[in-house]
Amino acid sequence: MKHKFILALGLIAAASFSVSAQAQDRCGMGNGKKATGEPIQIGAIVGKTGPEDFSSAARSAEAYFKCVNANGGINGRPVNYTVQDDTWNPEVASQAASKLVKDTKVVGMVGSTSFVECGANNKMYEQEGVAVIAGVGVPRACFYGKNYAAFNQGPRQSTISAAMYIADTFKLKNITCIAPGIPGFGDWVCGGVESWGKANGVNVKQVIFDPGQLDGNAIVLQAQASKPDGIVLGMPRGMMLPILTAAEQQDMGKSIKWGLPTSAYHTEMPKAAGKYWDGKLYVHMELEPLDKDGADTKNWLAVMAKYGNKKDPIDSFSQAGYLSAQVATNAMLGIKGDIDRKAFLNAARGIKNVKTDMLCAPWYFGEGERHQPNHNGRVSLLTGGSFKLQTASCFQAKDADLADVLAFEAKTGVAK
Amino acid sequence: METLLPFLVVGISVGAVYALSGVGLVVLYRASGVVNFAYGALGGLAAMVCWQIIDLEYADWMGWVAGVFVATFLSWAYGRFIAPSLTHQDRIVRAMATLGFALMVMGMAQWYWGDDPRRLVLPTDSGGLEFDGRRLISYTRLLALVLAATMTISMLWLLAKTPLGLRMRALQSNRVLSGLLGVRVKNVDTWAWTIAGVFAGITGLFMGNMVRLNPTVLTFLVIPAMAAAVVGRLVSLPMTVLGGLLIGVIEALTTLLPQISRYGSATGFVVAILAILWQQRKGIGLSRDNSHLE
Repeated sequence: MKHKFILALGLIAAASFSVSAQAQDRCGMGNGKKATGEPIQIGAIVGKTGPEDFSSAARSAEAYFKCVNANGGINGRPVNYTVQDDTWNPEVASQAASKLVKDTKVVGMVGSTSFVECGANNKMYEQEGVAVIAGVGVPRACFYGKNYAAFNQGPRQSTISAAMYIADTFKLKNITCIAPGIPGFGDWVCGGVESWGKANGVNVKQVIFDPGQLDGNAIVLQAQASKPDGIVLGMPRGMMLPILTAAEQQDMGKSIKWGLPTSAYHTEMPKAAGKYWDGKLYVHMELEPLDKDGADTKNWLAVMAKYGNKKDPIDSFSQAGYLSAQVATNAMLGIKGDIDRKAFLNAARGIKNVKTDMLCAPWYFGEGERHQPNHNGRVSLLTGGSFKLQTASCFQAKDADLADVLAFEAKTGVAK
Repeated sequence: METLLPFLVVGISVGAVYALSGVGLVVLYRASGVVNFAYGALGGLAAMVCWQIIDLEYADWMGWVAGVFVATFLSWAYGRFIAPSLTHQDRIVRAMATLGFALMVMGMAQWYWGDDPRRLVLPTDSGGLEFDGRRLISYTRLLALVLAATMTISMLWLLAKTPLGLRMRALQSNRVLSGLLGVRVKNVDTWAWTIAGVFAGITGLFMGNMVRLNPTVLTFLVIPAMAAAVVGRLVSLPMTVLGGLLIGVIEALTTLLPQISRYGSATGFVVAILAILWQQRKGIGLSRDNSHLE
């Protein structure tokens, strides 16, 4: 128990100090007055119940909205934030979105994170004119919707970046990418790594496994068969652990370099991975470090300490949820006249050049046909029960699919 | 064969745990006629409790004992206080009641422990048998194999040679007649639930270590266990063990074929369906289980 939550507690303690040092929380209008007007309905869909809990972003968004409501709301109107669980089921995701959009009549969606909802609901969001300022996009569909923009880079870019880092640093020539065979996920993620490998002289093999398969050993053995000098795991952290356990039993940490995407960047991960992996796991971060000395990072931790639940994760996804709520709040505060769905969508499309210490580069929603505004990150090494930054500066994922996004940015200047 | 060997060994070791789970299900079904869907949830709870005790820096053995004890206690409590009130209900109702129990246990565990990344590490993880310069099987998996064999043999002995086993077999044949002949039905049922709890606890610890320490994932461990039990027609322990091993081995071998590797978790269902078809190749006959004549 001595080491439990060591990093999280440290971060929250630092945040508490910063809260006491500040006169009030920096949320919304920041006037310390409780909002009492007519509520503004905001929704979110998350994959909470299922193979893994993907509600971290909505939890931090909820904490931020609580803070907003305690600080004057949106010009006196509180935000009524409704989070629905899609249980990792596209049908449930459709029903949940329909309920929020048609019955609750939400103005917009903020902080959503799901494996299934983008594919199920993007069309409806476009038809109904609903803007989704999501927390975290997971499968491909989340980055190919006209009304859907997330704050993370996405698992494909994150896994490519992890592969890029270990290949460049250790001069690797054979990398195996392991990912679960979830539609629109595994092939997309490892396909990206393979494309990058082809373009950069690295031989990449894919191992796509059944996410329902219980034993990590068989997966590790299959990966081992191609004699890789590097392995990247494109998957949620819960799925990583059995694979790391099996790899540890095969002593594969000694001869093979390991790269993980941002899902592994979690305060509990060093302890969960165990001593064997100390100094052996290179973790890509889609957002800036959790302990960065920056105003937004400090405020995020302060908000989580005061308005969050003590069980809320402190991870990159929580950062993304906080940012989604902050950006949505600022967008609503900027609306002149009625805050309705159309006004929120227009306000969202007008968001550009959002600068924050939690992201490597400015974020935008913009007028694009699809959105992937975050494509720069860093890498840290899991060591000494924590994460140690390895890259002094941010670097961009070499993902061929980003060409249209980069062209859009160059043309419109939305990310200066 | 050299390529296949590690996959076979891995498959057999996981299959041994499936087999152990299947044996726990069959023993309970033979005695009480209940298909226990809560088996995986109790195993998951055992693993979580064990992790919690170890995380609180108590000795590892205290964690193992506490985990198995909690699963056993809950199984005993269900068998003692809830199952008797459902004795006269249809078998489907009794099975569904255990599903409700499973969802309660799983929901509470998921609520309490959440989804933080964690691992249940056993001291046997770090060592193992080497082959061709690399680790062929860890001592944890070897221990799972040995325990599966020992516990199955113990159950066969208990059923064949002890008064309790005799009463269990009597209940399997006809519960009403057994009761009239003086078998204390509730007492025997409770013993069966207790034994099933011990099995669930032990398999839960292994699966928490070998698979994933997550209450929801471990709850669904009941699926391959159920498939193994179906291979044994919910009656035969040796066939259940064979079914468990078969599922484990096929599941491991599917990872070698990229075309089907992403469907590996369907192995349990496929094996169970094929087993049912094979068992009924000569038409549907009367099973040794005559309790439907009650």
